[in-house]
Amino acid sequence: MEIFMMGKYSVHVWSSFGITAVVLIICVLQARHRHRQVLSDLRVRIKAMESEQ
Amino acid sequence: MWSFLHKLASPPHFYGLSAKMIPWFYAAGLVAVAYGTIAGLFYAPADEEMNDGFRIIYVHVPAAFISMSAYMVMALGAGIGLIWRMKLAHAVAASAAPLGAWFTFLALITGSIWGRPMWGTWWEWGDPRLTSELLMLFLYFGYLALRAAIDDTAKADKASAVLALVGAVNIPIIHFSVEWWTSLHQGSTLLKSGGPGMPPDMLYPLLAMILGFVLLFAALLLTRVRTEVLHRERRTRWVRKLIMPAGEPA
Repeated sequence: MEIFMMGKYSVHVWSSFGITAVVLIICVLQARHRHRQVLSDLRVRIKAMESEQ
Repeated sequence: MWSFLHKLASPPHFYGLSAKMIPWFYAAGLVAVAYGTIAGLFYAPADEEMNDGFRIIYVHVPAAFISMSAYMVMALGAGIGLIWRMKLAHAVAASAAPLGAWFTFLALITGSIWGRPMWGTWWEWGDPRLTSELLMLFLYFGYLALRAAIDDTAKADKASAVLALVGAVNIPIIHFSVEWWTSLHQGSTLLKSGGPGMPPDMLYPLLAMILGFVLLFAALLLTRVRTEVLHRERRTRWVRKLIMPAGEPA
């Protein structure tokens, strides 16, 4: 466990890495979520258009 | 070369090609970040002055680098979109903005966590580096708010492009702020004359982290540009075919 101790800077170092990991994960999830949302919106739209014809 | 670029800029071609590239960018980015994190946290020697606290740079420097790179991508996309009326360029600019905002936020937060023990303060109003980076966050917010306020995509593209280009003045200010004025922030260790001022086992993890962040940013940007392209091209035949392949019941 000793290697995980960063002296008096433990909290600073680990919180920096933790926040970074969280932000990166949010970025990935947000981008994927938006893409899926647009895809499903389009599916609804195009289906509606085709059933009109 | 030109025909390749022309083809790349065609939305359906871009949409297909980028889908193949994104997993590779993610994979390579993850490998680089995993190496950089492990080597940076556990193998790089502690700094003489700042001890283990210096390890914050392994996330702070890449985040700050991407925060500015994203702005340059946004301003470049905005400029190309305005001058050559290239739709894909506007889609790139619009996609870079939210990512740039996130990375700017990250650079500010990790910088603040650095500042508390090293400078004795979380934040210093009036410090040129800190303030110009914060201004960039507000430029991203302004850009996003302006786009959100205009329904017509073409009009939103034009108006937000002007804002992005005007705000680009801030980029050299951020970069040179530590040279032009006195700042709490130290100068660049990587870009100083005479080569990077750190030993290789400290330097390589940092370079790996920067490379990894660039690759992850590329994957995120491509994903968002694909979403933009799909939305912008929603009335075209290729999108309709993509969503409803022939033969599938409506």
